[in-house]
Parts: sequence; C-alpha cells; structure tokens
Amino acid sequence: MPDSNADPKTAILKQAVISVRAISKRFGGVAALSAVTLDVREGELLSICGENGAGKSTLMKILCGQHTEYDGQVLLRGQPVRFSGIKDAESHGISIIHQELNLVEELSVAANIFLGRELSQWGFLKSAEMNHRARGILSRLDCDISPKTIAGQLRVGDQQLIEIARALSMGSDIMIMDEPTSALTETESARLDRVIDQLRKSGVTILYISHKMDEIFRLSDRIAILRDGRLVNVMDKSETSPREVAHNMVGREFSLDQRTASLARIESMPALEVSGLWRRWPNHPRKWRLNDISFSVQPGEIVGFAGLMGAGRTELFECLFGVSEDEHGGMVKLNGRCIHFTHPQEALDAGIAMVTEDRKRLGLFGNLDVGQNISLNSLHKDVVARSIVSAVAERKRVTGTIDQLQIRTDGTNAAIGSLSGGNQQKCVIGRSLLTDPKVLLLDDPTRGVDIGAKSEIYRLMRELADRGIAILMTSSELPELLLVCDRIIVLNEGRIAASLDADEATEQLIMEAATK
Amino acid sequence: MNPLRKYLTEIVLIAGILVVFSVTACINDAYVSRFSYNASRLILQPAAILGIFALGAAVVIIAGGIDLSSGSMIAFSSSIACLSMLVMANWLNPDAVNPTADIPGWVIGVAIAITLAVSLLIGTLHTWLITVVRLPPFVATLASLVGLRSLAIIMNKAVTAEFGTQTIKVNIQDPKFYALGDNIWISVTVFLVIALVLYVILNHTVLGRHLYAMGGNEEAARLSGIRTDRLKWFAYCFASFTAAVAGNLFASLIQQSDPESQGVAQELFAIAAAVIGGCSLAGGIGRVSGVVLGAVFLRVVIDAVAKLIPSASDDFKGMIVGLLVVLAVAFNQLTDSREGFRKQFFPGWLGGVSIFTIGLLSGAVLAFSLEMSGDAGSWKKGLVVGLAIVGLLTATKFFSGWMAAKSLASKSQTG
Repeated sequence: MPDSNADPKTAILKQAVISVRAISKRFGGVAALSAVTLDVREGELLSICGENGAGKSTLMKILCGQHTEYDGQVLLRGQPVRFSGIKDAESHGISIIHQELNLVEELSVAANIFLGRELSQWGFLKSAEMNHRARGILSRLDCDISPKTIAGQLRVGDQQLIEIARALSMGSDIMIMDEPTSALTETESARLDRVIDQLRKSGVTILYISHKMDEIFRLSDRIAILRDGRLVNVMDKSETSPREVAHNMVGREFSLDQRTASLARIESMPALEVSGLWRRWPNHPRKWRLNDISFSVQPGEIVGFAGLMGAGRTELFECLFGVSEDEHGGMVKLNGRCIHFTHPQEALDAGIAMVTEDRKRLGLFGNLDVGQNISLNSLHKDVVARSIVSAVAERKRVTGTIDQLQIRTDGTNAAIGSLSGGNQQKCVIGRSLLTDPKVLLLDDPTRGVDIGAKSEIYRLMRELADRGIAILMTSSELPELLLVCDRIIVLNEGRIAASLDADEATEQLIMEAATK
Repeated sequence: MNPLRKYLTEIVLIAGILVVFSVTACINDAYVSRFSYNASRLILQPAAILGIFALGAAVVIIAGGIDLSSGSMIAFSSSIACLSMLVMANWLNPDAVNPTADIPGWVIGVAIAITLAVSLLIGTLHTWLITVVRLPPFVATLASLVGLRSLAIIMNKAVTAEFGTQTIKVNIQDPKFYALGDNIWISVTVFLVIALVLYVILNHTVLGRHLYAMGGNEEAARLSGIRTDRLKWFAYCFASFTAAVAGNLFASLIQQSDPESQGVAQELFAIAAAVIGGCSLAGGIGRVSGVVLGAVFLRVVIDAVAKLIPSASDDFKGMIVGLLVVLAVAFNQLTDSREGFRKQFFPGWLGGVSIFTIGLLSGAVLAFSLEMSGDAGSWKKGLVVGLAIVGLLTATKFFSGWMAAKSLASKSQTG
C-alpha cells in the first residue's frame, strides 16, 4: 500500500472522518469485498447502495467492529484503527442501527439505552439518573416516549428511535443505519427523516443503507454504489439520477415505470369473496382488529392492500389463511364455496397459500437445505410406496422450481443461509407455488430484497396471475403497490377506507384514505 | 456439504470407540481372555438397551422438545409389566405356591402389550400438557419424571398386598420372561429394528422432514401448514414407547420390577447419548447413525472405567458421562464455528479460575481413584498431576493470548 500522503486527493483526505483503504473480505471461497477504497466526509450523509450480496452489510460490519478479520486498513480521522469488537468501535464513536432491532423487549426504554453501560454506585443501579438522562436524549430526538415504558410494548418505529437514542447516549458521532425504514410505516419514516435532520445538525456523520430510491435522494449528500463486492461509483446527489444509480447497481438499465398490470380481464366467478369479515382484538380499546371487511378478487387479478402499520393488513391475511388466534367471523367464499379454516393446512388443501411477512422468523428453516425448504409443503406429492418420499421425484420438483423462479443457488443441497434475501424469498414463494394455490397471499414479498430481485418477483407475480391465480399482496412501499396491482384496497384501523383501481390510484389518494 | 464434514460426528465416534476399546484391551486383559462375554454382555447389550430409549429421546430433541421422563417411564413400565403378569398368573393359577414361576407365553405377550399401550397413553398425556395446557416440555415431562416412579412404588405395594406380603419389588421368576432380556440378540435386534424404522421415518418420509422443520423453526412450520401438534404427539409417544420397550427388557434382565432403583438417571444418559451423537438441544439437528454410535460410545467408555477401576465403577459413571457430554457439545460447537480450535480458551480471570478448577478436579479425581484402588502415594501423585495441568494450561493461556495480540498487531500494520 503506498503512503497515503502521496495521494493526490490529500485535500479530501484531511476532511475524511473515515477512510477505507483497499479493504477485502472473504467468506470461505466467496469474496464479499474486494479492494474497496472509500472516504466518508465529516458530517455528511453517505448512502451506500447495491443489490443484496453486493457487500454493503459486510463493509458496515467491518466499520462497526463486528467483523474483525479482513485485509486492508481503516483510518479514523487519519489514524489507522482496527476494532477488536463492537464495544471497541462504540468507544471510538461508531454505532450501528441494525435492520433487525436488538432490544431486550422485557426491559424498560431507559434500561435498553444504558444496557451494558448502566450507571451504578457500589453495584446498585442509579435508575432515577438513567431515566432522567434517557428522557433528555429522547427529547433531543423529538420523541415523547417515557423512559419507563417496556421496550416490547413499543411499535417498531419507536423501538428504532430507542436504538438511535442508545447510540447518542454513547456519544457516537458516526452512525451506520442499515435499512432503517424497512419495517416502518410512512409516518414513522417521516419522523425518522426529522430525527436524521436533528442528528446532522449536531454534526453526526451518517452512513445510510437503503433500497428505497426516494429516501436515498431525499436524504443523502453523496451516494456510493457497490456491486459484487467492488465500489462502482461515488456520486454527488445533485449530479445523478435514480435511473443512473439503479443502472450502476444492477449493471443494466432498469425502469420502474413499466407497469405490468393488464387491466382487461374477463369477469367470471370471483376466486375469493369476503363479506362482513371481522376479527376481535382482545384487551385493546379498539376491540376490532378487522371490522366489516368485504371485497372480492377475480382469478388472475392482483389486489394490493395498503395501510399504515396496525391497519390490519397482516391480520386480514392471517384470517384468510386460518392462523388467526382471535375470535373471528364473517363469510369467506373460495370459488363460490364457503370456507372456514382452523389450521393453515386446511387453507393449503383448499388452495390458499401464504408467504409470510417476516421471512427469517416465520418463513425459513435454517437447519434445512435449499431443496428441503422448497419442497416442505408438497412432499406428499412425491410419496411412492406407502409413506416413503421419493428423493428423485422431490429433487426433480425442486430443481424445476429453482429453474422456473431463477433462484441463484449452489445446488439444492446448499445451506439456505448462503442465499441472498431475494433468493431466499423466491424459495419461500416457490414452496407456496408447489401447493398449486388458487389464491396466493403475499405479505410484503419484497421486504429486504434488492432491486434486481424485486423486478423478478414482480414479473413472477404477473406470470402467476396470468395463469389464473388470484394474488393478494401487501407492501411497505406504496410505489410498489401502484406498480404491480390491478386494484388497491386501503385499510384504516381495521376497516376498508377505499378501493381504488390501478389507473385512478395515486400515492396521494392512498395516503389520504389510510390516514383519514 | 462434503460428506466427510457432514458425518464428522460419526467418524469421530467410531474412532473414539476403537481407541477406547483398544486402550482398555491393552491395560486390562479381560477383553482378550473373555472377548465375546465382554463385548456382547458388557458393551453390546447395555448399549442396545440404552440406544433404544436414546433414540426416543433423540426424536423429541430433534422435534425441538425435551423428554425428562424416560428413566421413570422405564421403572413405571417394568412395574406395569410385572404387575400384569403377577395378576394374570394368580388368576390362572390361584393355588400355586409361586404362581409366577411358570406362566404361559401369551400372558407375557399380553403383559408387554399392556405396557406398550400404557406408554402411548403417557406420551399422549405429555402431548396434551404441552400443546393444549401449553406447559413447557421441560415442566410437563419433569412432572412425569417425579410422579411416575412414585406411582410405580404405590402400585407395587398395593397389588403385592393383595397377593400376600406387601413389597416394593415384584418378582417374576418365569424363565421364558428372563430369556427375553437375557438373550443378548433379542435386545440387539429390537434396537436395530427401531433404529432402522426411525432412520426411514426421519430421512424418507414426510413425517420425518416435518419433524426436522418443526425443530428448526416451529412458528414457520405451523405457518407452512404443518400440523405441529400431531408431530409432537408422534415424538412424545415414540419416546415413551421406546422407554417402555427398554423397561420390559430391564425388568426381564433382573426378573423383577424395582421402581426404587430401576432406570434412575437413565433419562440423562439417553439425552447424553443423543447429544454425544450430534443432536442439537436447540432442535432440528441430529441423525440416527449419530445417536446409535453415541449410545455405543457411552457404554464402551463406561465399561472401560469399570475395567480400570473395578472396585467402584458405578461411582465414576456420572462423572464420565458429564465429562463426555461437555466434550461432545464443545467439539460440535468448535467444528461448527469459523473460529474453530484457534480461539482463546482461557481468557481473563474466568479462564484463570477455570484453569485452577480443572487442575483441582483432575488432581482430585486421580488422587481419590488411586486411593480407592489402594495405591500408595496417591495424594502426592494427584498433587503433581494437578499442578502439571495447571502449569500446562497457564502456559497455553499466555501463549494463545500472545499469539492473538501478535496477529492483531500484524494485521493493523498491513495495508
């Protein structure tokens, strides 16, 4: 490595708070990062973009001390540093706000903020002082959560603010945010924008990972793009466009304005007809999770459900799939026949399949390989001779699915954890498809999926719809619903607030209905 | 995955079995002079019986649960078997001095059938407690662990009082019943058949795949339309059933039901065999081949200790099993983690105190065991070995600490 003082860009280096010098990181035979060199300027918001597997998370994990084994060098304000762990990085003022929140749900907000650094005297906790300081930090963030609230009772957006407060309490002036809005509603995201403004006013440098182009262009000063472990480009926001960024990310032009909806549809018997559906909400002032929900879906139609968090999107899907644990009622007809499920298996047998929202927690089996994850629901089709499953038939079915959905995997025996988020999601979708559903429920199918895989999932959904499958979907991103759906139903506090056809729906109309 | 790595547990266990067996054979000539007796009667048969209910424990562990009841289930089922035979024998032959001295074959068959049926009832009860009442598996089966043994004692006392003197033990002297356990090949065959059936179920049926899925991620399994309650029913019934099979063999082997001592702590041996065989207590991971070898390995080691310290082998059994479980799980953890064996084993004060404790324990074990075998100078030897171990581990501690510091320093130099 040449002496950095000889570098012609010395002027920039002087203001660089973090300089990454030729960092490479390998996992086994796979190069996650190769010779990445990048400067982060003091006080800026630098967005890091790239498809899943491009190396964004690996780079961030090196900067926050989670990965300690790597080649290359990190300079913090010109000084070479090598963190021995997360604590070490934190003591240097670098904190990470994780995609998955790391709070102890049973403890109070203040206890979480001071977790591991509790204020104490002779081993006794100084609770009053911690509550006082926590309140101070939270008010800096314009957030009126009581420090004594139990963290598990907060909504996801509030929990995330607790993590940010925790980072602030440590005196961090460099924050890494890894897809912070992936689980937030529109209003919560808007509040996060304000918090980020506050942070930047107090001089905090932010590294921001996101898949959402509008956020990136709203928030960042500069945009760094990684592809296949290499730094492709660093651009000033003012000098680029979403189109160029997307192009850099995938290495090809990608257009978000190819609407896929085919509106001409033959009116036939609805695949799914719901009338007067309700679901109770025990011990909650609202009493109803869902109330008086009526709609119908034609075969081949893609219907999107929009709404804020808690509006009842997932709750509705749970009712239809037979996993609701609350008392519920109303009439649901599948192809004209009344149905009432008490277990998901009945739903699958009848022809309704669901892809769950939280892929890692509710969808994947880490102990099973890729093939076993895909075939899990359709093994009975491969049974030969009594109850023995034919390995050959299973393999054939699985490889068929892998080809059809273009899942990028190192064979059917690869560990499911070795796949990128988008490919894992395709495995879960493939598992549902193998049950030959007539109605497919997709709960936020592109959450945590990169832009390339997103477009493949959209294309796949349209293909399935064209084959006559009725698709119901939710999404945390409105543009996605507008892009993919034939019709959008807006839920608001468990009721249907609006039902909009694709050609009349706009983000404005949907948000008005969702927040009214 | 490459097969060598996938079957690493099995390979290490086979090597371990061979090494322990050969070392014991070199030190003690019993294996050489009476090979068939030692190999079959002292290793193969106990391993087969342990293996039978270890497979049951393994299924529950793979399914993501735990069954603590197998030891008591063994005592309870041998009590049920012996009492059924006692009652039927007395009913058929009320005037005989000793009705159980010769009982018809079908009576034995019916008694065993009753036992197995009762075991399924107990398994079903466990499932109900876990899935409907929603007790944690640990608590549900802990209740049976404590309760069933006590129930067996009460039953034995009550029924024997009906036919003469009240006793806790119930003797069955019929030679046919004795032959059942005495014939090694019956136990071994039953073990192999159960292992084979379980292998097919776990690897080649929908049921098996769903068991792994549930053990790996129960909530995801339920949302995938898997009937988790039915799977749990299978797992807990299989565990109780195998414990009952073992209970019948134990009863036959000693020709009596003795709930005060039969099967005591066997649930822990079963779980140990499963864990040594590569099952993860977190669920979803484990193979029949591993559990079979785990049971055999456990018995080979226990027998080796019996040969080397003949005077008090039973006293050492618990210690050996404890040590093996720690080593086996540590081995699995280390081979799975990327850091592997390169990690620092004795960091900080925790490592320092552990070095002292390990040295103390090994010195004490050596001193006490030499003392028990009447060796002179046992204390001195214990002290020397203890100090040697402390010295050795302390050296390792500082060496690995120094290496880690050096590699960290060299890395921040590069680039």
